[in-house]
Amino acid sequence: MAKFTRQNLTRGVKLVRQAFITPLQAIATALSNGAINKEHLAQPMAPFRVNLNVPAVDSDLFDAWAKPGDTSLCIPFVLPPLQESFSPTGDLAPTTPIPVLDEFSFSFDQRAEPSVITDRFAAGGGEGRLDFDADVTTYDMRIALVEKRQEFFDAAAPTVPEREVFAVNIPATAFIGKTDRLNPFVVGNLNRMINPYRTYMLVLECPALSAGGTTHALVNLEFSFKFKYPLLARDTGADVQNIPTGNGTASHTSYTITNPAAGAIISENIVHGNPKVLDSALQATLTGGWNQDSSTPKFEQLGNEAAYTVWAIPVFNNYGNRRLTSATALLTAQEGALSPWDQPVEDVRRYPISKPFVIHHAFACVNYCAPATVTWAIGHHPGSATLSHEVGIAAMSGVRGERYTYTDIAHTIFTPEVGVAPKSAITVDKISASANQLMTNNTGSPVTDNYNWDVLNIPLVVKGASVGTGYFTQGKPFFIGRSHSGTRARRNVGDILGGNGQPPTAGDETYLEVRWKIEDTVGLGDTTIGPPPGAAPTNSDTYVGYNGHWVILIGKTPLSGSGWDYNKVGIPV
Amino acid sequence: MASLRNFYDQFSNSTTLDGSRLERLLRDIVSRFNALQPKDITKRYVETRYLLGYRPSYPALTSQDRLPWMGVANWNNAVELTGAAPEDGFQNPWRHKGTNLPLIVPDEAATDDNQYSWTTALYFSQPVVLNNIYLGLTQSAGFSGTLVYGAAPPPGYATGDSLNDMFLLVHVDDPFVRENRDLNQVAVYKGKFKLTGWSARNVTTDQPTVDMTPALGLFAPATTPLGGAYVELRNLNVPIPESSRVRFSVVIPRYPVAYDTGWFQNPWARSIFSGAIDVLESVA
Repeated sequence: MAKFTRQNLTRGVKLVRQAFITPLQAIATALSNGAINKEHLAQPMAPFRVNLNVPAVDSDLFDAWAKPGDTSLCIPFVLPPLQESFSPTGDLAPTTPIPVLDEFSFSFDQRAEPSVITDRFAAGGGEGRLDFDADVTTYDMRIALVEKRQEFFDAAAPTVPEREVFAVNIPATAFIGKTDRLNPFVVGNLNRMINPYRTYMLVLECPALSAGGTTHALVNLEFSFKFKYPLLARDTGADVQNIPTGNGTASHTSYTITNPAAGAIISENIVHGNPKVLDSALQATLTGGWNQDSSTPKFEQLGNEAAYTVWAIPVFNNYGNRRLTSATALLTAQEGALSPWDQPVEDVRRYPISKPFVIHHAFACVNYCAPATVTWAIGHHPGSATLSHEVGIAAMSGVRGERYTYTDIAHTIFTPEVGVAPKSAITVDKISASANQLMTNNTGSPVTDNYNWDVLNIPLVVKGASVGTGYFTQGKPFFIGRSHSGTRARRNVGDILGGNGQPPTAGDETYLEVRWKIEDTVGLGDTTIGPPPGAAPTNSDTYVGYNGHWVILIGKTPLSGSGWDYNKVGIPV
Repeated sequence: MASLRNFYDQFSNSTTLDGSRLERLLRDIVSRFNALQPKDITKRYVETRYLLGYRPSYPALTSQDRLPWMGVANWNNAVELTGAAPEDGFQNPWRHKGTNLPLIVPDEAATDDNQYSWTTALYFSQPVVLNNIYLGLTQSAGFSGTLVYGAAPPPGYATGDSLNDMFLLVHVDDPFVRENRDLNQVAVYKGKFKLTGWSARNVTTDQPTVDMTPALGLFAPATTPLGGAYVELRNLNVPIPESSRVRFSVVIPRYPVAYDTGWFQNPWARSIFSGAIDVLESVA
């Protein structure tokens, strides 16, 4: 909806209805229809963040580093448009919302001292200790955000970055001052436009960690990219899976502007009473969107009351020997299983649902990076035909509750290309941190792939014939949110077989669970070395690269009250 | 008739009505509704979420491979083995406030008792509201921590009593002396609470009515399904000023070997830790 307009009034001009009543009626109509949109807001953008938490980076990641780009901590992510704006051809339409990178911050743990922290390879086994004698350059680092075209939209797209969105060289002196340390380190006012059909990657290089006699670590790294995104209309309709049966339909109240009869005397009722209708609406404040309990406000005036949101969920992070798991590193990585390790390795992450969240896309970022310093860690892409990754995302009820059950939201199984479910069927992109990267290597591997990460689509479950929009065939958006008795009844959901039925969680979901399972029926372990493609694993087949895989959920969350704003049943809105 | 609260010009019967005043009123109304301020909107925040995660490398490992867990105190034993302590002393001998446990001296002696902290620092250039804090300890066959004290509990506790020695803290750095942790403001403190009160299920062996896909194998077989504790501090409503440095810490204990607790001697390796920090950020 366009902005409100009016005619100018000046002294001596005849007061006609169009000059005074029409603009007030236009505003009242917008209030009555819930059509106060982002064009009418002084602040029409909402923030969202991509937050990446990494347990630690040890010196061995940089043992093979000789020049920029050789090795790095790298993590990819994507920020595609939501389903209603998604173009299967990747065309940027004039109406496609564009994220804007506003701020970047980075922190790590120094134990509150102007010191460097030792890693597991430090002399005497002193991991996590303070080193006040370290070289002053130890924490010199470079952090960059890089971008590339996605293979899904352009088969000719390279696997290496094509543009640096921003980069910052941080001298170690930023972190070793006694009076003030720039930890967290912040770069603001970036104002970088983001292409929603491209892949982005965080790249951190800190090569001096492995320099000198005592080696060091970066501990508990937290990267936060803060973006701005135009406000959105919330998802409504019975097609939205698991949505409360009210379908999110907004209720409105009428704001009436009194129109004087022709020739009527202009009274207080007209020139004061009509503005008072709008004044009262402002006094009551305008509202819209989902409440915390998945209800909607009694009356809504806002038409754009939802925000783009991203959950970046670490999976298998820190897992295995030296924070990675390969065919020969399984001995110290798998619970209870023995050679030939024909049982799956698995990870589970549970996070509570706070505000309603409508999931539009899900992605699995598969990591093949290794430090490239020891035989079993040179980062081969696995090539076993019997290897499979299975990733599931589900809503869960039953944490301190009676109904312990799950409703599947998204699911995928993928294998190497020689397997029964080749990953190319769900590949969004392939990306490396740099052209000269050493972290993956196909020397001696039957697989020729030599890039750092796969970005794969995890399709949302499909509800019968109700198909959504996305990179590959997937279901319509999926609503999750806490409930009260009035919002427990939910619309049908799909399942991984394309069914159509009531969600087992029946509106009681309080948690979101992610599971990732890696299995090879002939064994994940190093049973043979150097087999032909499709045979058992080679010794450097990397199942979980350095610091793990990621699951990224993209969707909408409603605008929220301040925390002091409650609805009539005492639920924060 | 009640006066207009948001607009300057007021009209009533028997007062003047001229074009200048009407023009000003119309201009005020239309321009206001074309640029509504945050104060005009009940829902003017968005919840953004920091998700944290730590999976132990392998449950059997003890002294090594525990980063990001590090000691809570900066004493001589915390210094690198071949190095020296600073001549002018440690800047922050204690990293957190209120984490003392009587039986533990967190001096970081190699095989002794200690407390370990997993600390995440965040920066907020604009004011935010800290809304939720969450910490999950997922336990299973491989990650076999328990939530109770064992056969040789510490003094004051009986076998089977709930663990009562974990701390969740949110500190905000002093705005003027940012590196002095003594001056930190404690924004959230949850300490010395019974962890069993936050257990995932009262009956630890029950199975979900409908499991999700994929089902778990060795990770959580039928005999030892997923369990653990999930601590949720919701709707905290803690205002955080602009340009704040916020530190979220989880502190767990390692007791002297004489005591038997659900943390065992490698408390960082007995659960998969998941965390979330939810903040309300203003529309922009």
